[in-house]
Amino acid sequence: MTDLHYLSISEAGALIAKGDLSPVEYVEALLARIEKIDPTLDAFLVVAGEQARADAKAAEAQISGGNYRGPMHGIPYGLKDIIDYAGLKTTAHSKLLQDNVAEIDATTTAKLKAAGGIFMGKMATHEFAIGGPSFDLPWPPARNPWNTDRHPGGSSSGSGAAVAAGLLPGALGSDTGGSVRHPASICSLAGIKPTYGRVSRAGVVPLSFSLDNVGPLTRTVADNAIMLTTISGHDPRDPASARADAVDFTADLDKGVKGMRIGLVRHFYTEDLDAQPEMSASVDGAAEILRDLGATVEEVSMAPLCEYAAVNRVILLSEAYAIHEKWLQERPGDYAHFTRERLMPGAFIRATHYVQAMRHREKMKNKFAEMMRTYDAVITTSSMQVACRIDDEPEVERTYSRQSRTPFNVIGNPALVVPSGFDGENMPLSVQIAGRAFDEATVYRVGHAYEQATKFYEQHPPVD
Amino acid sequence: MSNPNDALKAEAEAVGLHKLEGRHWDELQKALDAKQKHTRGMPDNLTIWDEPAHVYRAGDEA
Repeated sequence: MTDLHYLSISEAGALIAKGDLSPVEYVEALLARIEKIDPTLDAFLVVAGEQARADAKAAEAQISGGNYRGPMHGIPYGLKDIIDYAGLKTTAHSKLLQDNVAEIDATTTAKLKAAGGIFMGKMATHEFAIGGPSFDLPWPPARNPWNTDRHPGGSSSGSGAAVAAGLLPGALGSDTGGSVRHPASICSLAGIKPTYGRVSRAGVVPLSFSLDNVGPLTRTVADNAIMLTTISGHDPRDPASARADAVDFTADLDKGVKGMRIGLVRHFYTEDLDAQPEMSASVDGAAEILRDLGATVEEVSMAPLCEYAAVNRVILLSEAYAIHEKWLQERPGDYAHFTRERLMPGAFIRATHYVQAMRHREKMKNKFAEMMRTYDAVITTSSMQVACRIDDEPEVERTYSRQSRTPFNVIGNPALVVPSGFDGENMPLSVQIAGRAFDEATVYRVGHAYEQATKFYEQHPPVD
Repeated sequence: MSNPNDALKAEAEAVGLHKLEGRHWDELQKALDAKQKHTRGMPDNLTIWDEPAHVYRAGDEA
């Protein structure tokens, strides 16, 4: 069997279930690929090779003994290094936590273990899921497999780089202002920010309590649905965990979009911000493809992007500063330059600003819910441009905020990114699909229909 | 900005940031600019009746 490394979770899972693919063989193939390619990407902070081999042997024995657990059984995965794995360090890619050993698993880790997933290692992140890409930390930043001179997006940077390069079929990231969807957009992946409360945050280093979400990055939408099905569900360890029913997000994937009403939020990328022409064209093109597939697509309006961005930043920075205040006062030199600069505004935001932002948040949420009485989903851009050089600090600073992901963090609704093509330099483009609260199933349905019509996921980065 | 002006230093000390040095002062100036941008960028359409997104609940049934 060739190219095990680019098998999707769905494909590998089907082979493993039938006994046609050995989890041991699969894990060995990926470990060999990690050894060969990761030195150019720096996607992994830790490769858990021996643990993975032992888990793969155990999975193989269970499956051959008739104890197949489901589509994640025998499937390798990685964890952004803000997610606890018992007995291993959770560093948040920071000097401040470089000796922090997790005592128990994060709930998401425990769910992946229970499903029979094979843990492969801890993935690079922007420091504390906010600073980066940084060269002044104990570990280097991850790089983009489509062009290793460029950044892979963030903050779930290692998760995105590794999955895109075929080092893993899936990995978990976190998304507070867009940090799953950014690397997904920039590395040609599917990445979802689920509805706030859908996935437990227990055992995850917090950035902003009321905005943090855990979500998967995968090469296909179906794989994303498999991973989200595995990690979602109510968790008493997380005070924000929703009591929503468990859902099999793969169930309706193939139902198509015929008869759906989809809103196109065009002003985000034509008026509020001016997207790279290829990016705008790819989102407009996605609207056309969804029309061809039978959906009604109409232009709709939301609040201006700058308003969502301001509300997101005031909430995020206030909550993040509450977490980091003591360290910033006592050990400011232990943070990376980008992290300090991005966290310090929180020291000066007044309580009134925070409360006003939370009041705006409620209004924005209700306004979107009202619009979504008419529409099944909305589509728009994610990033306004492809990735720039990783060492071009002014351009990194300028472009990181040129995005339309934060609206869905502010209102809490699910938002999925899928690949929408490539620009003239073969750098990935993307489209974002958002939906009603707790209706990830419809978001996935739209994403899957578009993905199957375009098949951009079949193209791989030039790392071999 | 290795020698911050008095106003910048006072801003830092008022919030307990006593250990900033060297390039930290440039970062602090950028952080203050960012704070202004974010707080001024919020809409201005609240009524006195608009509740915040997260409210205290005394228990699960509340």
